[in-house]
Amino acid sequence: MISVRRWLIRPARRTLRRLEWFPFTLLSALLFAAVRLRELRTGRAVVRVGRATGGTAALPLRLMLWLDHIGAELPSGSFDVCVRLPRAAEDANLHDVISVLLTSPRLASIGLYWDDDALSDDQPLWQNGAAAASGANDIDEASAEGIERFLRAEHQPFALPVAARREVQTLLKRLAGGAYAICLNLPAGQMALLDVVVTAAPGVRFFEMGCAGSKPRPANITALADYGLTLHERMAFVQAADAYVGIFDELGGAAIISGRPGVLVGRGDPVSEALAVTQWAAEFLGRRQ
Amino acid sequence: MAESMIGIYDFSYAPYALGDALTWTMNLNIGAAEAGLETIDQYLVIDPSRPTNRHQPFINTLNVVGIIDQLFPAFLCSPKLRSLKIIRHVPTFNRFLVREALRRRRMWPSCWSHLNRNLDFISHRRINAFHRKHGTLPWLTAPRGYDAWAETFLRTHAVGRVVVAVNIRQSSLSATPASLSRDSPVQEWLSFLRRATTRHPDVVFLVMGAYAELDREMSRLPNVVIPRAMGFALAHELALLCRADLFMGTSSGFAAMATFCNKPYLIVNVDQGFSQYIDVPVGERHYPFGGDNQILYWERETADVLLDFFEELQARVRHR
Repeated sequence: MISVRRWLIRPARRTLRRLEWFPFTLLSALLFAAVRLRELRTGRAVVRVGRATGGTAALPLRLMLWLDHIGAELPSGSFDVCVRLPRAAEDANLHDVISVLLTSPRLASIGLYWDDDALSDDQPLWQNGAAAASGANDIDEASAEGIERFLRAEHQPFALPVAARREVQTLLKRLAGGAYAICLNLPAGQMALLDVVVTAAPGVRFFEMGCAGSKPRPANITALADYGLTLHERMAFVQAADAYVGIFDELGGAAIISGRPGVLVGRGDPVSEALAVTQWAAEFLGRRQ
Repeated sequence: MAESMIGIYDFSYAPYALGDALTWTMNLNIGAAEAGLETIDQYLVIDPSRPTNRHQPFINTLNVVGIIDQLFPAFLCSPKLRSLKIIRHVPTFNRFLVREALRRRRMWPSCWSHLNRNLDFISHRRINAFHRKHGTLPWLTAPRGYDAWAETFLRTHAVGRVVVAVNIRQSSLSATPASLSRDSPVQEWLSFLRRATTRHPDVVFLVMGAYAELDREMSRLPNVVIPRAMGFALAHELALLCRADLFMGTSSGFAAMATFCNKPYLIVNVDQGFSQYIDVPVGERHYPFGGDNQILYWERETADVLLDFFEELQARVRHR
């Protein structure tokens, strides 16, 4: 079988791709359709279907967890995903949804559906047989178990666009030089943590990822909110910085996948979290001195 | 299951460009309206091993993800959108294509055109013909999921004021410079904005375009709001444009959005070569489907020209 693919199908595909006029394009389309049919029949086409029918506000993070879980479940090869979205959702974050999906290096194709019938109609062409029809994952909410699994699991690195990585690495070099850089993404109600972390880690450059607010900041804090960074660039910034202190959103997820040291906050008692941040900062700096 | 209109945007022969994506969506809307179809299924096809097309040789496997990420919201502007697939595996797409062809679904481009790798991504031929026949057009809307956000944003930043969306094309400052002759003279726009914001303090200007293309001085001007500098993206800008009272800008992607969501507009520096594609003689003031408040200006803009047109249009908009 391997030799047939190597000596017949691949050269034929390469040749047909270069003959981009009729009837070669028709031959190419039919050959590729046949290849897909074979992939479907032999079970090499894998799709995962997710439903986000309740709302899309936290969908970028939930998709990140979901993709990570799929990656762990399928040890090799590429896969496709279909996401059933609510038509009435007005969370203005579909661009972030697609940004997160595009970071998965093993994800081939993406189907976004606002209609059950269209999804059912397409499903046999994404994946054949019972597996495709076996039901969809609920991605409306990340379970506590799912979050714990994500926090502990080994992750496959995500693939951010080269331009986004170049842009923020240059920015970070210019703004921080050789100093340690910590990304801050604090919850709106816990800005007191800012003082805690800045006091606990002197000599470090801090980068505020979220809304900066109007409060004056010390000179070693840079607010990135008005830098016009895309989600890919913000994720690349988190990846390029030395540590992350902030909430568990898509940036927190990016920090975990990238193995950045740090503290996730905004999930428990603010006093305990302040203490945890202080201890972590002391350990973080202690290890680096 | 109800039949739907099929849209194919294959990036191996169609450009990665905002205006062309919006024109394609408009043609899809027209195809659906002509056939009496209520829904549209879109296929965006990218061959990951060969993502470029003959119009944009600078696109390669390393930058294509970033470019599609930025352009994606342009494909969310049809109110009939039912599904959108980004297919990065050629056999998968061809399996779908064969199914749709066997079902004799209406497609844009047609299956024959697709097999000939031929997409009319620029002309207004079908749009003009539809307007001649029906006297109206199936307009684009804000990207799916962004309209309520735009309403809230304008309530916060522009309540009770005339909202003017502005695009000052500065492709020379972008990561992928192209057609620099269509770039705007930024000093003329700055001069216009300084005068307009002084003379009309009840107007708020929303400056749109990629962050790299923005001029720093604009953020110092009163009554100027720059959504990109606030962390928002193309999808938010398109939604805001749909809710603005007026659009002013160069002939480019944002101008296409203003044109196809039926806003009052002034589009300046219209490329004379574009005339043959839109069936509008050079110098003609309106598209065939354009109204009195939808003006084409074929010469390079100056601050005086911009101010004159702005005052004419905003007075009309105000008295609507």
